[in-house]
Amino acid sequence: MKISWFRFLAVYALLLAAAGYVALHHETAQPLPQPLTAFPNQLGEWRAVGHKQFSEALLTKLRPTDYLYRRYSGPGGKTVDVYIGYHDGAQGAGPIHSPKNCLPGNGWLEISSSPLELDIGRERIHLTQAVYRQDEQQELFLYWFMVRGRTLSTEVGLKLAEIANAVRYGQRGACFVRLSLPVADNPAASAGIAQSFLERAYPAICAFTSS
Amino acid sequence: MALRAEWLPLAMGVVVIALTYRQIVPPMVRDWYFDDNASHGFFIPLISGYLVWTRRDALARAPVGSNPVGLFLVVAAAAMLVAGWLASEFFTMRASLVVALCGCVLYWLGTKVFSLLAPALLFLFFMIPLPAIAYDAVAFPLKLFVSWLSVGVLKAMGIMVLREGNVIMLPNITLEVVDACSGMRSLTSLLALATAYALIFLRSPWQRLVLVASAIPIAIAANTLRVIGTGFLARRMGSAAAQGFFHEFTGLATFVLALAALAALHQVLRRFK
Repeated sequence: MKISWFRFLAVYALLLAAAGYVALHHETAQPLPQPLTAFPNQLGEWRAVGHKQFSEALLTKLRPTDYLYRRYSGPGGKTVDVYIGYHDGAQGAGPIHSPKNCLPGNGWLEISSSPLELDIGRERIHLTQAVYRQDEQQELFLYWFMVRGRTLSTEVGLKLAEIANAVRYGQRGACFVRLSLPVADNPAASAGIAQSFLERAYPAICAFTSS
Repeated sequence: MALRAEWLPLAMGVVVIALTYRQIVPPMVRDWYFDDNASHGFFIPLISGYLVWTRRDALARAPVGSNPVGLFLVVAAAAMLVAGWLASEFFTMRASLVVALCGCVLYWLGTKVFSLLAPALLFLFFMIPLPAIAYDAVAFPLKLFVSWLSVGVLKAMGIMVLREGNVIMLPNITLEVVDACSGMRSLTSLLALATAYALIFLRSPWQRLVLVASAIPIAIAANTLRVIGTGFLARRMGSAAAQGFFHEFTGLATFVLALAALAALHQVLRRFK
């Protein structure tokens, strides 16, 4: 049986259309309104007490356009570590690394992980609350992704939002925010501390990461 | 014979696929070269080609038809390529190549030819490095399990040993069960090899399934033996037993042992007709 040329031409056209889109599509960087180094040291009763600069090796791996890793101390001496990693989405910019990848890769074992919705002001934010263990140490993590001011709790949601932005705006800037603190005897109390910090920090995070 | 008559549009199809994936395949080959966890990728297209070669007579006789599902697969592959590109999602982009190949064969040449080529085509999935999120989700629990099992055996052998997570503490040295000895690296390679072995040497579906599934316990057992051996020798000889050439050598020996176990299982399975 002779195969119709139409069958071949239809497939050529589909594949070449996809290849053409990939070749011609260019994304531009989505810069931050101001560098993260200008992020406030004082957030209500929470005060920055330390910061960490990543090694070149780690930065080569994470490839953020800008980042912040700071420790804040609040009422009763409780501390919360904040990591904000911004990826401007330019050609060649690194993708956001999910904690579901990085934490187990660094020896952390997931104890629990669940999506959480919090109302802060008039906004509902979507995040993930997780507990990881390394040796005898347990740590509570609250993390989320931000794309054009929208909060997303899952990696799939992040990818879909990035695709939508790349198609609509030719930009793919995205941000990853992670709060962490040790879990003492009472995980609920640790979650409460993280959430009270978040209520203070969230407006500043939005102001710095919404370009 | 039917396939030979279509050499021109098929050759053009190869060129179109090569053009479409020209930005996708070279970085994957670089991963095979630089990432030890993906280095078995070099062998996958060769084995896949061999599988096609073994079916050449049947392919020459196979009637050519067309299955419209193939066109749907090509559309899905094009969508995967674009979406993967926009999201910088390498696994999706690379997997789209295999989906596109399946779609082309099904749409251009029909179900009969596809059924003959399906094992070779689907086997190509093994050449795609796993996404880190999936890799770590398996590798880390595996590291803990191998550590736990090895320490249990070392204790039973009368060796004083403590474990914290994937760190094994002997009186004279502390060892860490890293990715390389978690069994994950040999697990992915061994699964690919076991699948090739099953497709080439076995005919019965259940025997193939048993051989492929056995790659998992074999990889874990071989790596547990490696960790136990390293712990035992490190206790006697010191850190030299856990580093450098010796460590590399035991890694290779472990893989050869795992291959031998697969071959032995094959011999056992052959007895059950």
